[in-house]
Amino acid sequence: MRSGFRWMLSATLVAGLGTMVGCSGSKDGGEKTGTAGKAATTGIGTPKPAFEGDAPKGAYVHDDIDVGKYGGTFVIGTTGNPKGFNPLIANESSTTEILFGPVFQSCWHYNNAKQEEEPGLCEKYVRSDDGLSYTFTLREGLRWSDGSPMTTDDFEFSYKVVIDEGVPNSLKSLFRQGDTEDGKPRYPIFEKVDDRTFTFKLFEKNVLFHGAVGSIYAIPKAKWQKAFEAGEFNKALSLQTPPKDIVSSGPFVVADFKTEERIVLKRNPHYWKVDRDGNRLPYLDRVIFVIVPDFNTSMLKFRQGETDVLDVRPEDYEALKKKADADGYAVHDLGPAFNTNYLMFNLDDRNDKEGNPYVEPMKQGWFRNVAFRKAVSHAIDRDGIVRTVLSGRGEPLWAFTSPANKKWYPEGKVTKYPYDLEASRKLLAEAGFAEKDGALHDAAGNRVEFTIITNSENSTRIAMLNVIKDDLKKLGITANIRPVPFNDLVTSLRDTRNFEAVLLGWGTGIPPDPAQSKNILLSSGRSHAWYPEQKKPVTDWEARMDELVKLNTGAFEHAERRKYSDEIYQIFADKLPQIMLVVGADAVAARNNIGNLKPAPLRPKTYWNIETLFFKTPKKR
Amino acid sequence: MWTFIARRLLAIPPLLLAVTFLTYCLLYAAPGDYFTRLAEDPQVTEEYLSALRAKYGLEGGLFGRYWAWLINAIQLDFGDSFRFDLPVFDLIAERLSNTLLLTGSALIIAWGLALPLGVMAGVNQGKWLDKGASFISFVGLSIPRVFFALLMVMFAAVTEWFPVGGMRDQIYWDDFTPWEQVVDVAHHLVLPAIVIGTTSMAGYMRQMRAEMVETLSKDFVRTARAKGLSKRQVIYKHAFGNAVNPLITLFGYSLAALLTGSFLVEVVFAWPGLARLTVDAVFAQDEPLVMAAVLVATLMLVAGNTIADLLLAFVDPRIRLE
Repeated sequence: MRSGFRWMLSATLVAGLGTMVGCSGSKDGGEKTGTAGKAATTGIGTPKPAFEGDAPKGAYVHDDIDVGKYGGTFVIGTTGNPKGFNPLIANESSTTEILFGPVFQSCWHYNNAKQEEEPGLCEKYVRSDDGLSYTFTLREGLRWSDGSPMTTDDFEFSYKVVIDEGVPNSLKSLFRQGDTEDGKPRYPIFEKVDDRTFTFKLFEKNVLFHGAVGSIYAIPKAKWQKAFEAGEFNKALSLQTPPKDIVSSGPFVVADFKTEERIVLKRNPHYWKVDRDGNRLPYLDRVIFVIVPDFNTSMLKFRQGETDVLDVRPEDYEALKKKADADGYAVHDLGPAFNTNYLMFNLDDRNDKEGNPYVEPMKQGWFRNVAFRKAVSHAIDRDGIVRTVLSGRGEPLWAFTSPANKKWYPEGKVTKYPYDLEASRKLLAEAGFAEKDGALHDAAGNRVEFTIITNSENSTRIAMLNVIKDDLKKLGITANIRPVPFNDLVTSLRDTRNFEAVLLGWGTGIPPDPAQSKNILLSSGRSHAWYPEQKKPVTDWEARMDELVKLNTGAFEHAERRKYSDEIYQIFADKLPQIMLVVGADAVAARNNIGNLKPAPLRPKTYWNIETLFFKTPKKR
Repeated sequence: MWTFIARRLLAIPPLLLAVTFLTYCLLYAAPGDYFTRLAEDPQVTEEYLSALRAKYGLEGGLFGRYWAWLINAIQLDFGDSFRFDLPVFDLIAERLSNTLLLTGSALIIAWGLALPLGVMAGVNQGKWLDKGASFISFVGLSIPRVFFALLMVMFAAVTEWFPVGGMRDQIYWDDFTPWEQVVDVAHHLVLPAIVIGTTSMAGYMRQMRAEMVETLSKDFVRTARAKGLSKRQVIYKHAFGNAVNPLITLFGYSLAALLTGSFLVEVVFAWPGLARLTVDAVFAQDEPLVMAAVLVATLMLVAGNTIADLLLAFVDPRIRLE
């Protein structure tokens, strides 16, 4: 046993030495050794692994970026573990944030920084005047990462997989257009024109159709057709698939993977983008996603210099900022975040299976009173929430969508409810409420008391509720807080509907288009959570919102669509089905020697343009 | 002795049946399932969710689902993890070795320190050595393991002498020679092993010391001394041999804890072990993985206890296993 201890000690010593050896022995010089090929002549280093063949004839020319240098390993910390490498059935962000962009790219691309669409594997698309036909043209000379040509057949195959009944995936719903006559889901028809051109024939207009096509991250038909036809597609491209079979279309290919440890990507030698000097992209040799258990570890790894970028939480902002100059990184402010927070009352006056109302009728009466909801909104000190809960990193929110949303935020067009207890009391008095012995009572003399739930995993939301509880106390309203596990919360919202009020948040779809919020805004929508799946709109304003959503998604011109969405957001802010609270201020941190870094508040915030990132100076370790 | 082992083996199947069924009941009773959290996304449709549930066998009642699981499990098919889409036993086998490496090293540290220190403290009862050892063990007993682990992570982060987590270098691993890889794993192993080792050492050391003190006051020790044996012989041959018996049982139990004892430390140090895998699986309601992990943990517990009993019979001739 003693010798065991000694062994441990010596292992420690040797280990110390080992890392030193590891340090000096690490590579990444980026020194060029006169190898053949285009890159060698430009003096920007030698890519390892090298590119193969020539850049495609129709290569995408990135003329809006700095010309970089080849080499280096870019390291990103991620808290999730990918579930597989299949881009057609991936749905969890832990998978999609690794696959979509770095490994697979699509026909039509979305630029997170500009919040605009731009061409991807397709050089253009043409929409017919009636909006019922879209013709896409692939770039000339595209190749998959294994060197095989990429053609219309691959897209036809991928689309076939997406709409196949036997392959559950979340993309289907983007394409589905009602039902066929025999009651089956109906999807647009794919027509092959030639090897580079294909047309989708639609049955009804869909303003986001090119976006839907842009969400198909195609896979090579030659490689996966067999598995699909054998009914084994759900096992294709799993975590057990050998990396060489994960043939990709993005700037990188999977080189190695270990569950909950790391994913190593290396350059795709056939990638289809070049910079303005004709140097092929990507500049980086390797990308490593380091899988960490939580954000704290993620932050430690960044501070130790192991990772190159970090999504900064509001509470870490100051601490990170302090060390930035000394440690060679910078904290970048991105402005308001996309994620919103809201307080919602249950307005659903239906009964459960046993015939009992979801919400006590007396409470239902308060909640359905718009004046009551407005009074609550006026009573919430949003600046206080920002100060105490978000460490000052955020701002009050009045609209359904965040100010981060460049194209759709209804600046100056929605009603605001500044912190004003007098206004609240006045609204409540007019609605028949009165304060007695420090407690608010309704016209019938019932004390106003209700319970707000939120998910217990989210400490920020619980902290917000504590502020709100104190704020409402000032009006004599007793708000009880009940944090519940997320699955309980979803069950309450979706099935049992037995909640009184809830504090939750919305994330965003990409693109952050109002059409993506259809399920929330339409009275028949499943996420219209204050009163979901209405057969007929219950209120006039919900009927008007339904109408506006239809108008908005039925038009193609942005100005026209914006007119409708502004009115939707105005109604939303006026009727307060959800009382919007605050948005946090977004920030990321990144090493100073990263070129072309253009962080944006849409995820993945730091590396959405990973094919253009490069190290200005060779990385030291 | 063989009948004893046979009886233990026979007790395993009903035990496993009971444990797995209970586990399944708990999983079933928990609100929602693995896919519930997807439902909050407004883009996710009801059709998609039910297709997923059908694909992963999450439809039907408690007994039907448990039965389906049991039938497959008897044929050694434990299904695929929901979270990883991988066969659960591949996952568990990979993690099991990582956990055993960590807890095994910790076990060596704990017992390697606890026995000599405990004996020395017991022999030198009341002297500075005893007080020093007591102090160490009180510190070890009173510092919560998580806190100690966090302190060590801080230590690693501030000094940069040790990695802050993980089991190997996540960036340059592929460039290492096999020898460098061994050294790298050892380097990552040091802190978590010390945390688990020293915190469990404290308890064993107190036990060893108490046994030693008690044994030294026994008549046979006085007799041995009176016979004129050297102090060394008295302590190490006669007293130690008797004092160590209860600790052997404890050692057996610590084998059972090999799998479960490292959970918090694995999480703090991001060690890719079984404990972390299991707990994450519980939170995510990854049923196949939870079931298989519970199965493995139960087997380890039974094995550990059996080994403890056998060891005891081996060292103490008064005990007969029947």
